Amino acid sequence: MIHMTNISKSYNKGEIKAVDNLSLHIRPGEIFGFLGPNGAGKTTTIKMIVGLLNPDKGSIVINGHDIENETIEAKQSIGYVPDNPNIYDRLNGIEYLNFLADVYRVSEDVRRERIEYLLNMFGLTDAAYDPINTYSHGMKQKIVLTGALIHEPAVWILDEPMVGLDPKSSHFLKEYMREHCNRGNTVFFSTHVLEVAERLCDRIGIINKGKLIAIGTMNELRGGEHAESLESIFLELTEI
Amino acid sequence: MRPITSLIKINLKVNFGISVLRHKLKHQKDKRIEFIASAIAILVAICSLIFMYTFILMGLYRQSMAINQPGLIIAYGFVVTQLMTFIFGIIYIMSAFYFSNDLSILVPLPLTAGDVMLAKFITILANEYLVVLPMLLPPIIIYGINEIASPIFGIKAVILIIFAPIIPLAIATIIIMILMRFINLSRHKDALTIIGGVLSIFIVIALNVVSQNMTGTEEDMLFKAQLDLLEIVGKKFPPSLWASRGLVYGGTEGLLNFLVFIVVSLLLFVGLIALANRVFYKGLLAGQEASKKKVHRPIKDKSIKRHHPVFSLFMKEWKLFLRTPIYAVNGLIGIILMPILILLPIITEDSELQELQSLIHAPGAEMVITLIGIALIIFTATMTLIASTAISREGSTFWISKIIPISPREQIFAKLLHAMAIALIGIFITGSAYALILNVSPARLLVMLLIGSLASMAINILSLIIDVIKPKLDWDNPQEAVKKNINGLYGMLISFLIIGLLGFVVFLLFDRGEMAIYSAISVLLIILNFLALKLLFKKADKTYRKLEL
Repeated sequence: MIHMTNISKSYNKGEIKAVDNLSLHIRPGEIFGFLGPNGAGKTTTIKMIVGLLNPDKGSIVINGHDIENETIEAKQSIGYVPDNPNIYDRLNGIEYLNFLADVYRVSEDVRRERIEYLLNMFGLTDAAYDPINTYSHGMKQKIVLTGALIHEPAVWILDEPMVGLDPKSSHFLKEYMREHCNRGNTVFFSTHVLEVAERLCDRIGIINKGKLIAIGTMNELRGGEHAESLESIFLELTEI
Repeated sequence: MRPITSLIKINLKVNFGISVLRHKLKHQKDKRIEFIASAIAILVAICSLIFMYTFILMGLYRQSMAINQPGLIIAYGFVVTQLMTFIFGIIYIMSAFYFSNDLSILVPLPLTAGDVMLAKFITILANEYLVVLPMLLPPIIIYGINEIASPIFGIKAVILIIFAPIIPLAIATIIIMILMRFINLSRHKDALTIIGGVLSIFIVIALNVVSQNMTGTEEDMLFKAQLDLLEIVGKKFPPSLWASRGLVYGGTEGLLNFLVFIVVSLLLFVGLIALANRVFYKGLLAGQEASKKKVHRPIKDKSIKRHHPVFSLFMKEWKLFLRTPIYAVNGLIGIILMPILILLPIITEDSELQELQSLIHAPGAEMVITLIGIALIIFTATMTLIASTAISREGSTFWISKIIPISPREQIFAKLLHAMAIALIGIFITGSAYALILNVSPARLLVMLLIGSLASMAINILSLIIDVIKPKLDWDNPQEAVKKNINGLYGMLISFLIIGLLGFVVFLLFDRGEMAIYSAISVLLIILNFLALKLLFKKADKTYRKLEL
């Protein structure tokens, strides 16, 4: 579903290598957790996948479409939630969702059903007609999440999705991620909450200083030893 | 470093963007040329304004010499400066003291309200000097050179310049702080912006009515108007007179006036801090206690509707434009103001109007009137800044435009539709007002509207190209996207260029008759539109891909 081949990205004319020759292959039906210390290159990688940053080299293929050459088709397959929900403050919730449904070409019946369901699950129905600039951080996060799901994207890409969510919404989100993958789709998300990653992800990748330093299922990461937690693996691997 | 000194330093740095600029100049070498270029552009603009101002002052000086009052020019300088400081001050203080984003960081710090106010006040003061210096230096220099001033004059001048903005700014601050304590203005922030916009429309209209009622030679009138201004402001606001007397007069009277000005400035400043400690935070926090009852509202079926993506993008532009007061006021002010100004002679029953209307039927006049009408229409339609800030206005939400599966050219096309929709409204209203007042025939009105639309389309496309190439996405306050955006200035330049170009064509073909002129202009504009649109789409595809967030 997501094929990243040898992608690199550097800043300041090559002085800082944010992502260094990264290759990753995320399969259909898989929840993939992307971990790493602050400044390791998580957000840079995510931004390259969704087309906000252009890789210096390497290729990214989403759902069979190259993000460079078949941009529109690739984007149609992605639902993206950024780490900072800056959206059109002066629209109300419904207007924002309708706008996204229009640009992702979702039919009227389908969007009605999804908007009602998702807003209800996130407890946002009562605020649907309020301008977004009256929303709290968590509410904005939820409306962005709803917007990113409105077209049932084949690939769901989330940057720190749990931040700011209340326990009920966070629980719903995790359930929904699993359901989404059970329908053959893919979820790729970054997080600092290792317990969530440990319980939720089919596979985990750890990035440090722009390089992928570990990848696999929890079992593979433990190397057969059962006792070790993801936290101790993470601390061990990312130690300087 | 004492906390208050550190706070002032930080505030000044943020205000002038020093750290960001240093980082850019150090690490992004390509930004250097851009920085120098925009610095030169701004400098040229400011210098030409100062030149005009000095020109007016020279005239004033000559006339005040004639009535043996050479000091008038200094009084005028102080009055104008302090009036401007006060007006700008009110706006600056409102936004810095009550609507600023850094307040949520500053309020919890272990600093007094007076400290926070002081730091913000000094930052605004620093901004005001950028107005004060070019306003006060020319009159002082003109007076100093002509009257052969002493070194004491120089010393007094420097001190007075430093103190000049303090009194008006302190008064503005006190007014705002007391207002905010009792009226919860922050809940009506949007309304305030609109009121400000409407008020400025009225000021322009009032100035026009006044100037139309003036008789006598222009320079005499200007002089009389300036004297009136001096008298009014001098009576209501004596500090300007203290300052100018303190500078111009010698002996005890001069010294007394000088000292009164300085002491009153200092007293107000100290009083301001005392007041801030008592009311600043109370007013600020009162503004944030907004509460609303939650009612259960189910999702209405009819609010969920499907539209074509380009139409949806266009509607989004409309909604954001109309609901962000600073955009709406800026974009609509021109198309509201121009027709009113055109129709004003009818409303005020100007006698010259009848003379003008009788001239229209002179041979050749009809063509000239049509051409002037076209120029006027083009000018109105492009004062809006909508196209030249179309991408900049997206700011931190631009990521949405980058990720949605809609090609850049379709997105830009929606923006062009939006700019054109407003331009067409302006063209229609202005054209009709102009035709009505000058008895222009329907056929000529049609020509005016057609050519005006073609020209404004070209200007909008070219303005969009500019904003596509270098959008200003990095802003916190929507005001910066329009007011502090150099692309708006470039957009205006383009409309002048287009009007100039059309003027040149008219000049070349003037003897060939009307039909030749109109058809030549139309063909030229159609070709220009076609080429510009192609370039716009090409640039949009490239930039949307290239811009990284």
